[in-house]
Amino acid sequence: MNLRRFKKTFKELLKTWQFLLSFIILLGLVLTVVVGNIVYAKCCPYNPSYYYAAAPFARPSWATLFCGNLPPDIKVPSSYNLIAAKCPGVLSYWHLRNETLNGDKIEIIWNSTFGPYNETAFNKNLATFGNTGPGSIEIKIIGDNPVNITLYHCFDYTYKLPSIHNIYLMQYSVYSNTSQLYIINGKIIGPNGTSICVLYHGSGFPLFIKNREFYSYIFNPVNKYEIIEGQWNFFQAGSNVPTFTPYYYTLPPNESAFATFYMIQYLFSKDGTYNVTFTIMYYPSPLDGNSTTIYLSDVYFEFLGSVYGIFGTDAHGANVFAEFVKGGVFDLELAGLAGLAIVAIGAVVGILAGYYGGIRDMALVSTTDFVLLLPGLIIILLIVEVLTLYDPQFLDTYRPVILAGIITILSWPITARVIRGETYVVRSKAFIEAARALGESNLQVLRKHIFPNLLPIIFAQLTLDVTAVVYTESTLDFLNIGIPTTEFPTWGNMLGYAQYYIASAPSFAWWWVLPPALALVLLGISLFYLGEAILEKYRVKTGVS
Amino acid sequence: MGLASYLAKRAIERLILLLIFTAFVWMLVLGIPQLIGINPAYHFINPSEFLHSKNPELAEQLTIESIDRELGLNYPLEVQFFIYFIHMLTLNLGVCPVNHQNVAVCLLSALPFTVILTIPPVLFQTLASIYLGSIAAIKRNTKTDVAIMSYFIVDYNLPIFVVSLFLWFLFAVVLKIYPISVYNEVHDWTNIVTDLKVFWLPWLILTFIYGFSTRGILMRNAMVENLDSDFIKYERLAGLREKIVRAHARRVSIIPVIVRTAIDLAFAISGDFFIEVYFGIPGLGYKLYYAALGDEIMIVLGSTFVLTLYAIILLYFVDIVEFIIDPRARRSVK
Repeated sequence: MNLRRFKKTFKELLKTWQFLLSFIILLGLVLTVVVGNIVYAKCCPYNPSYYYAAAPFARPSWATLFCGNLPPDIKVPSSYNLIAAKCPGVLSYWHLRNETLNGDKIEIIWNSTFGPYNETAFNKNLATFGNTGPGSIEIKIIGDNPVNITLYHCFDYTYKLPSIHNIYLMQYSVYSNTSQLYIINGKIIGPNGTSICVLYHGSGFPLFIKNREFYSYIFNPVNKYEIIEGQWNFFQAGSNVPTFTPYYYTLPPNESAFATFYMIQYLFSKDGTYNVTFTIMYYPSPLDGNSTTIYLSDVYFEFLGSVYGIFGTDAHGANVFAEFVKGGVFDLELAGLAGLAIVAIGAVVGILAGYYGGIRDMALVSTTDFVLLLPGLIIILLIVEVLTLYDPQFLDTYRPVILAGIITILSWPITARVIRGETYVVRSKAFIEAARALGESNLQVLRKHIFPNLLPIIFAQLTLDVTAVVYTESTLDFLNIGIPTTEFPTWGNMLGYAQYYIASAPSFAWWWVLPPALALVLLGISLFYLGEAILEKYRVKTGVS
Repeated sequence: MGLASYLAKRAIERLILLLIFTAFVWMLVLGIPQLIGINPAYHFINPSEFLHSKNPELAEQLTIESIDRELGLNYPLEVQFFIYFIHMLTLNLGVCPVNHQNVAVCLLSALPFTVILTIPPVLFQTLASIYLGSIAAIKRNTKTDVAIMSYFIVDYNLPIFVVSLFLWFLFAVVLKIYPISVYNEVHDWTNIVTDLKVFWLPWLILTFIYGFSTRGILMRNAMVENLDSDFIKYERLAGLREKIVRAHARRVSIIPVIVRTAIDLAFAISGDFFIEVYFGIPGLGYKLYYAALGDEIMIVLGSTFVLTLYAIILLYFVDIVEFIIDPRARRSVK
């Protein structure tokens, strides 16, 4: 079929509204997936390092039209250069300047060459920054009197009050080479006067604190209270894991279980200006010399908001749109490849069987009978189960290939049978007889006359097979037999994963469930109408019923 | 060709299919592992079981030998398969070495649930597809036809897990009129009240979403063909009332739908396994799924065999019925 004829047929097909509509839907779906996949090329949303793009169950940003004024992500500071201390502006951002206080001389400079490295406590996700390399705030204190140095920055909060799913996190990296006692305290002060202490770490143990509950924070080895000298220390805590915050230990024991809730509710009670504060409390002893240098970097506060991106976030705060496009690209790739394989095998076998008849035909029909008898899902379940028993490593490595292979093997005979039937019809036409009479060989007849006449049905069969492959694969993923949620997203395992959370999620997490579900349904229906339109045209033209 | 020789021929064909299928499943689960040198018995035991005994290695060896004897793994492969196939044909499905459960008893206890789940939707589907299909055919190329056909097509292309998820969610979580957890409610299938409480939603899904559209489209196309056929034209010309003419057309068009229903019924039990797993109804599909996940190989082998045997018997009956009621089928058999 040459290109011009193809173009002409395509234009004619576009005149039917079903074809046009399904073509537009299909094109939109594929374009979304492809463009999204280019944008989120590196993102792997099921990997913990891509969690916390926003708070769990954040709504899509366009949904604020009917969800009200939900809080977005609030980042202090908001640019990477300021967080990682890559530019001198970080000093003025945190309101730092040289000062002489209480007989101590404080010198603050921006160090462009020394920065965090080798931080073992650092767990990467989208709300944490660590091991950011050169760039830090260098604080030099000369003198031996106690002094407080405060880094602070304010942000305005003018949104709906946060819910239990919202989280705020504070973090910093610190380096010092001194045995002097200093304590770094990170807290947030609200407009109602509440202050919540999130971080509290020191280079030694403060023996002057009278609050006994506080000792259970300091001496709890899990909390990693101590700043170890001579290396970069990464500290991060937030309202999602309150046991790491000192605030948790100030609550009465019967309330500490609700610390996450209190940390959000007590702090965010009204609109206004909130103050993020990091305080270095310096308690020198004259025995250890009178000069100390502390390096600070990655000083960061983030409030994880309830509005994010195109499709919001899932139960881990991962980007649902990234999941959607990643899942889509896998599903479409698999369906396209497996569908093509099915149609290719089916077409070759079907045409040969239909054209030559005889024993080849019988072999095909009995194979089809056998495969039709196999309960598809159960056979796949069996094969996957047997592979997990005898060779789990092989299964884990080649899981998508194995699944595609099984689906192909189970599906091609049915396609072959359909194409065989059509070949039968075409073969008995007069023009084939004429071609034979003119002395054309079998191969020539097949290539010149039978194959072009079968192209429409092959295309139509392709559309049906693609749908079948996507649905089978998605059902497997949904049932946790296919691609697991630890590997990469597919539309099926997105739905299977979401079903455990939707009952307890706000608004039943519709932004998480609907995209893959609608995409699957639209893909199936539009492909069906596409195939149907091609067949319809073909029938009218050739009179084949 | 006479009825008897046709039936015998089909019976032999179906029996060969059954043999191939049984061999396939047996090879997959027990045959190929032995061919590549893995003893399947090792997967039925947990080595930590024997740590407390005086001689752990001996204890493990003895256990494996006893499992070998139980499954007949100490015979040569072809003998093993022969014994296995004979056992299967006599419905001696064996005892699972993992939980020492008799497979036949286990499957029999699951059967009623599957029957309750499967039969009512199939009956209703058939009636509805005949009714809707004939309406669509009579009002051909009108809005009614387009609406009914669109319903069939959308229905045919809905992935069942999406529909189950949404409907279950709607009725169980949002409206709270379907029990959240079904398993505890359906231990006793003889209790009609709990049956109705549990099965109405699966019935609804199976009736309106799954399997119905193929038959509806079949009915419509057959009816369209028959309304254009010569005998209907003749009846019209003879002045018969339209109602009677339609009834005649419908009666002829039902045949493919009935045949298709029987075929669907043959695969319904294995096809409904998703619904059983999703809703937690302890039928055959549910047993098979959890047996496969729990490595209970004898239950897996037994239930796949029973499902296939059932499908093959039903398909054989379809052959017979088709041969008797439809003269066209008789001609097509050569």
